[in-house]
Amino acid sequence: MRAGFCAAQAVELARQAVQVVDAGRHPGVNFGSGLLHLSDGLRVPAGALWLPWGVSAAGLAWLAWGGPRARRGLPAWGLGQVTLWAGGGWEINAPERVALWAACALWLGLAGEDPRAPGREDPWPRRFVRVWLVGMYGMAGMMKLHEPGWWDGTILAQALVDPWMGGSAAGAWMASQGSLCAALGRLVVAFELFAPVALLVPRWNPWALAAGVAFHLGVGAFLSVGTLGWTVLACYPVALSPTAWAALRARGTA
Amino acid sequence: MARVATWVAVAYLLVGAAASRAELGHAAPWLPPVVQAATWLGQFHMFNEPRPYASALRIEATRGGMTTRVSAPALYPALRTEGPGYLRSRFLREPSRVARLAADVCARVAPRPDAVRLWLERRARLPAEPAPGDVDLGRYACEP
Repeated sequence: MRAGFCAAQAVELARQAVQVVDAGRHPGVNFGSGLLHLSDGLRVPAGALWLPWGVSAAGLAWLAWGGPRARRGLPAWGLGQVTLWAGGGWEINAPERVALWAACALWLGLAGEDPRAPGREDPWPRRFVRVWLVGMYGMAGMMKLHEPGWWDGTILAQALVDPWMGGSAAGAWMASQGSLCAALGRLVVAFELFAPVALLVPRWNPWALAAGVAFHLGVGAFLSVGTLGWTVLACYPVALSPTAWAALRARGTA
Repeated sequence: MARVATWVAVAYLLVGAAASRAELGHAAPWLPPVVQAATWLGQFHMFNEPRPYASALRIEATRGGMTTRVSAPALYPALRTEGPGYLRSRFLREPSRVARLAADVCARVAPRPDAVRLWLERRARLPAEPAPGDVDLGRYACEP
């Protein structure tokens, strides 16, 4: 999980470097109005944002390096990120929230590592990731179930031609195929509703995660949603049931 | 884990039942009552609503009776993938922020205009959808 998380967040840091530049472009007007309107009073000057960006990058490097430094690297990365969010007007969107949850799971894993018994499994990261994934997919699925635009494919088609999120030629073609969008929309609702149940049933758990990999890769192929999908996928190995892990290991050693 | 999941599920259904009594459970009348009760959390809408239009900001600057168009993306280039901040509904909902934007446009456009007018252009996202029409965000005098 650590390697996947670090790779996804390294890409996110590259994106945030652009954001730091962007934050300094419009000093006369603040477009951010995120969390509790904190950006009205709390705004870090754009030039100073390179400091938390650097702290975050160094923390991520420590985390990727592993060993005892990883435990110091993760809080350093988090501190830098929170300061960057403040500088960006506290616009905490889905990729930031997902990164935060994934970091919590990673912290549980790092905190539970016992140097005297390497390889001993700590159940808390698995429990945390499962609860988070169940909540995330379950809530998203229920919301979509209550929204007819997901049944007739309208919302998916709109996203595919969105000037910021979509806009690819393949996406535009898909948006023009009403029945395809309706079928894909229903498939998304079905996945998000049944994944929470399937994740908790050991027999179905690997299939739910395989479907999740297809889902996030599909979303990533047609919609620009940043590193959200990669961060979630980085947590998938932790969510895999112990029996499935044992089967995979046995297949690998055979 | 299974025991905890059972307790959470029971608590979820009990809260859902209480929410239904408070008439919160009728957001999707086409769903069977059992499904509505089991998915009451789906009544909270975050990012799943259809977006009825695509939007753009039109800036008109007036100086000495002559009105010219000012390019919003040229004045406020957006590097972030989420799109320009001035199009966010949270920003546009607040008149004081829009007035601040107008004042900033006054300061940036040379020669300084007498007034600026902001419009939210609303275009259909999909060919089959109707264009809802533009919204006048107001005319703002540029303070000297």
